Amino acid sequence: MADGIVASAVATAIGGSTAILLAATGELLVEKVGVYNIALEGVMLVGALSGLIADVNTGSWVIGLLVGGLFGALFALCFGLITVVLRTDMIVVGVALIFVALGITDVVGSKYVGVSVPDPIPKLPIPGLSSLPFFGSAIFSQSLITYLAAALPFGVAFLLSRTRHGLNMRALGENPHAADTAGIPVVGWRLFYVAVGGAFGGIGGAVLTLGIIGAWITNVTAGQGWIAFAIVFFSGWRPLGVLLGAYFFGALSVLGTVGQVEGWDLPSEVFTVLPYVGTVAVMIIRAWSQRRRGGISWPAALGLPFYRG
Amino acid sequence: MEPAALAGTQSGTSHASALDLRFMVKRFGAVTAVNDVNLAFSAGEVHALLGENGAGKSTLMNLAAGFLAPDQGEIWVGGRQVRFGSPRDALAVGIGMVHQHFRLVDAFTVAENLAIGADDVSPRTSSRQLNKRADLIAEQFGMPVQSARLVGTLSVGEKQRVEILRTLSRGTRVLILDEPTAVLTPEESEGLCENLRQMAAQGTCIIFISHKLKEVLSVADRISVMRKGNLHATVPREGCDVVSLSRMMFDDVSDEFASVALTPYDGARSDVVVVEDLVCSDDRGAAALRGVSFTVRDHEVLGVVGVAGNGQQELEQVITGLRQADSGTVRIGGEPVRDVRSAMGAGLAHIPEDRMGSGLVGSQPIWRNAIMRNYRTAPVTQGGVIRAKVARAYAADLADRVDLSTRDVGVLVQHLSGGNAQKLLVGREFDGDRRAVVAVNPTQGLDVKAATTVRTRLLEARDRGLAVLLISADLDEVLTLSDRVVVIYEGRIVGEFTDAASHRDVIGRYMGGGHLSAESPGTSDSDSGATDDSD
Amino acid sequence: MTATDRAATPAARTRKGILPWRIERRPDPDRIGVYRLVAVLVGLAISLIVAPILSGVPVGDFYKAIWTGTIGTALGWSNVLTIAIPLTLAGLAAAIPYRLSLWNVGIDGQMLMGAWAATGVGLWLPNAPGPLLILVMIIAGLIAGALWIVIPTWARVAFGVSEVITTFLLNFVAVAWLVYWCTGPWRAPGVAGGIRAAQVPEQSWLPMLDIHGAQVNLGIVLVPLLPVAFWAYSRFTRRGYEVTMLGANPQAGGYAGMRVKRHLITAMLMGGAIAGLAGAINMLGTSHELSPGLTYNTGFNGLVVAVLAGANELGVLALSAVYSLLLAGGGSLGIIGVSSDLVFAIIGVTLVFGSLGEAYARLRLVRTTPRGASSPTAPPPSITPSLPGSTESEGAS
Repeated sequence: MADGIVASAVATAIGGSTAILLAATGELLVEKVGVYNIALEGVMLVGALSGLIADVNTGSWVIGLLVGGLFGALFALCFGLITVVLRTDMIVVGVALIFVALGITDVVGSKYVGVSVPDPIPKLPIPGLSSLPFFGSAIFSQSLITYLAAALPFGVAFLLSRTRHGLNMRALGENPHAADTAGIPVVGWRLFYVAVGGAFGGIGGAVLTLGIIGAWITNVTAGQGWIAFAIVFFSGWRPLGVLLGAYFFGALSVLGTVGQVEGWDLPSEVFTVLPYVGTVAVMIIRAWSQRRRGGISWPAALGLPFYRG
Repeated sequence: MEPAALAGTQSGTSHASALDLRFMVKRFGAVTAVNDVNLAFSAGEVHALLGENGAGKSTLMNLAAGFLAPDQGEIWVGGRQVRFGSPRDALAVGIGMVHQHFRLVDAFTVAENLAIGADDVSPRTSSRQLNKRADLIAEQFGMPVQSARLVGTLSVGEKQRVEILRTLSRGTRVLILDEPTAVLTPEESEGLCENLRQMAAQGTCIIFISHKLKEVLSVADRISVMRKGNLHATVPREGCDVVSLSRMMFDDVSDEFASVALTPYDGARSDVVVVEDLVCSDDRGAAALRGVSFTVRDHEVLGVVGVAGNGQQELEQVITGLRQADSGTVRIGGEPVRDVRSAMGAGLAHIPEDRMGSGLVGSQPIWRNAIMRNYRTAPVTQGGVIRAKVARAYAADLADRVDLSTRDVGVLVQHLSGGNAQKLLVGREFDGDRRAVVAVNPTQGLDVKAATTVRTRLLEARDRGLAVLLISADLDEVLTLSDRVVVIYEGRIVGEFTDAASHRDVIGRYMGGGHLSAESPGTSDSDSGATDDSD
Repeated sequence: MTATDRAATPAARTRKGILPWRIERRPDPDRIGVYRLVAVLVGLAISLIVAPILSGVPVGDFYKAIWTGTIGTALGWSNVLTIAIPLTLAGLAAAIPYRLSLWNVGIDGQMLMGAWAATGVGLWLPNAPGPLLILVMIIAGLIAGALWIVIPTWARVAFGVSEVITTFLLNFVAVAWLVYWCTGPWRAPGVAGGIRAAQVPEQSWLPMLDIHGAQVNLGIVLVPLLPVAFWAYSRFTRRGYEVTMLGANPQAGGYAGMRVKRHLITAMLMGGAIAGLAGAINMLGTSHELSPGLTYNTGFNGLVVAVLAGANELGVLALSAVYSLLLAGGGSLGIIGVSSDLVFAIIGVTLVFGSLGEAYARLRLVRTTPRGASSPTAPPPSITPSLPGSTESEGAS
């Protein structure tokens, strides 16, 4: 039944977007305080492997996710210390740390290739909602972490726009000199949010190995960190834009499966490239429309090193 | 009680030093910016810190407010020694600083800016709540603001009020202001000084950094003069005048810029730079020039004055070909300006405001900077190849003619002092067949000697027959150097003055939009000395 | 305020948790390149000491494998030289845009597209004479590489879209494109295992040279040639002068009438073209067939080389040599059962160290708690009274 295929594709799209959604939401927080962690791909790799190792050794997916988040945060903190504290180039250090993550996870992870996860993240159908017709079971039979990830952007939106702390955060990204003059510790908070973003990225990586893919393979993220990074640009630095963006890319990536089943006469590679081409296209369209409207939407001090005095 | 404390304090509210700086030393590389300075400030006084550019005033105050850490020295506040890890620590003991370049978030409202980093805002906020808080603060300190406006849309004077309010609202007892009047109209400056005196009367210690003698004399209770990183003297205002203060500021009073003067020119003049009905928008797409027309003739300096941000930058960029106008034309010697190269080809020299940012390449040697205008053609380039020997010889010759501090043209430009960098830039721009000059704040940040050199070079250029367009925020400089002065306000030329020096007050009013309330530009001709555009 | 009051409060009031140091910029950063290079070498040394321990093999075996895989044997030399060809070209492909602060993070994709175009020409003209065929294939590679960077370049110049993300994401598109051609129209007939296209005609294979026993393809001549040529171009020509000035200060260049956008576009397209060349040469010289795994992160390694060389072309040449040794050594670790991806971690670490070296050159530490007065027990000299008009200097120590 074609309908069944579409429903399962929707389920896969939503579930499969979880890792990207978590990582992108974390990255949004980082960018709101004026830093971009381009090493997000590496953060996710570290989280993916450390989460898997924790699950294999403890048999608990919860511990797996927490450990993935912890190591993601620590790895991101390395990035933060080198770039935020020492004011080095974020792109150079980001690329370097992706290399480090790629190399180290490959060496350490070689022992875990082919090991099955003892306790994968379970699905948690919501009673009632999951038996709704059409997409009820597709949308409401996800894992707990998928629900949480979907709620996260709403929480971030509240934090940023309705709280005193969110105001201070945005000030850090808009003009760190203003924040500094008003007594907000610029470097401290930036480091903190780099770590928080890293934790989300790490959990996202762990969701990949413990849920979506269910195993460790070399370079398991395959560019998902970069897509998450691009989604933040795509979102116009708005939390709900991140949510939409992540699901949009999830949908693009399952189109191939749908196409195959529906018998669309297209090579499968077309669907493979859709998320990447889509990201590039959307970035250009966004920039173009912004150029026409005038004004910018990104945090004004994004990526600029902060020197006092 | 040591005799020291007897001096100066006159308000009588307290004998305690609100802020006491001892043995302060700050070095930047080989330069000692602040050299063993001891200085105490009392509550309830307006204390002016006077000195020329580079004397160390701002550095000293950045140390006092926690923005920089001293290499040596102690900071005492209210009888206790304090140490600052950041401006936060200074705020905690009541020391706040308002910088020359405002530290506000343009994308935030006034109320939001006032709430940044404030502890008395409730953790869960709303814009209504923040606006109410901002109104209360404004009321408390008697400085009205529009709480819900975006700061990016405010005038410079309003931004400054927000910044001062933010500092005061944190319980500041020592308020430091770095060159606060540099960006204000004369009227706004007076209003600010009035406010400062009131705050002092209520017990706040006001530290007022300035290099303007008259202003200091009108507002300060005590005046400290800094010279080359050293504290030269601290004196009460009574008994001081411009002459005695300038003697303290400078080694040699004859260096003061009164020494350059226009020589009258009686020959016939013709139009060189013709600007017609320029309309153009700024980077954000907002209207910046709304129909600007004027001409600059040979043997003439035309001064353009106005408060920063009224279209001066766009005017400069359109005339030099850096920005495309939406409509209107610029001609130099009859040739239309389409881009930078056509402007240069027409014989336009350009001295941009930010010499190290826009005029020179600091990380490159003198010789590469010296050929930036003539590298395209022989003899410097032949067959697409730069002949380094020729270029170096040219640069050495230029260095010799403008009297650079070094003749080694391999020295990186970033190692030159501001004065020498400006000499190189002006020399390069003036060397060759030039018909006109656009100079923007050409003496900004220079010490008096270097500034005088630059002013002299501009007047020499005029006497050689060039048409000089001087765009400057420094009203006194414009009045001293210009044959004619036009006032720019909100993208329009709102007044023109031939005998400008005797109409200082009127010009000041026009800079603040005063032509709107006073009299229409048409009728102002007769009583203000303004003339028509046409000759 | 009295002196006794002050004496009663000798201890400084300090906020808890205040850091004893703070970081400031050096006013006059000097010899940044030297610090960076030294730091890279330190990072390399540390990595080479830690790596065998991390990988858990006998230390002796580790170094022996590296030795035989690099300069210890003729085969090792062949490896090093063969790796150096695409790496040097990739380094240039990154360095030329990087001189204008542009990031070419899509070199791998451009290399693949260059190799793809060259393969297409080869399969289309199977009977053309060798030298001519090689020439046409290389030109096709150059063009394809340049075309692959056109969209990021346009997006950057016209709308300010970050080229970092766009160039990078196109790598994935290139891989998918190659998978399509290698599994579809150009599939190698009757070959099992791996996704690869049919071999290109044998007369188009680059001839092999014998350098003191080391075997390497003709492409090796480009390794010294191209960097030196580009270096001379940027150092001596008018256009090179413009790039130097624009790279150091784009605004000043624009104020002097230099055409900024035109230079940006040229640099990006040039980078793409050289990457395409690298891909074509790599295919013609070593594998003789197209496969999506052809580049094996060479583009990223080239980026590392370009950054650490500070975009200097001769620096690219020198550092490519160093990293070719490292990569060849890393590749030989497979023999003793260590994942050859370990070498990526080492490269990443050296790049981090390079950044640290640069930070060391640019920054300095300043004590938050300065050494106090020259004589802390002396009564604190406050302001001394000065009479009006007095020019007496005070406070001299």
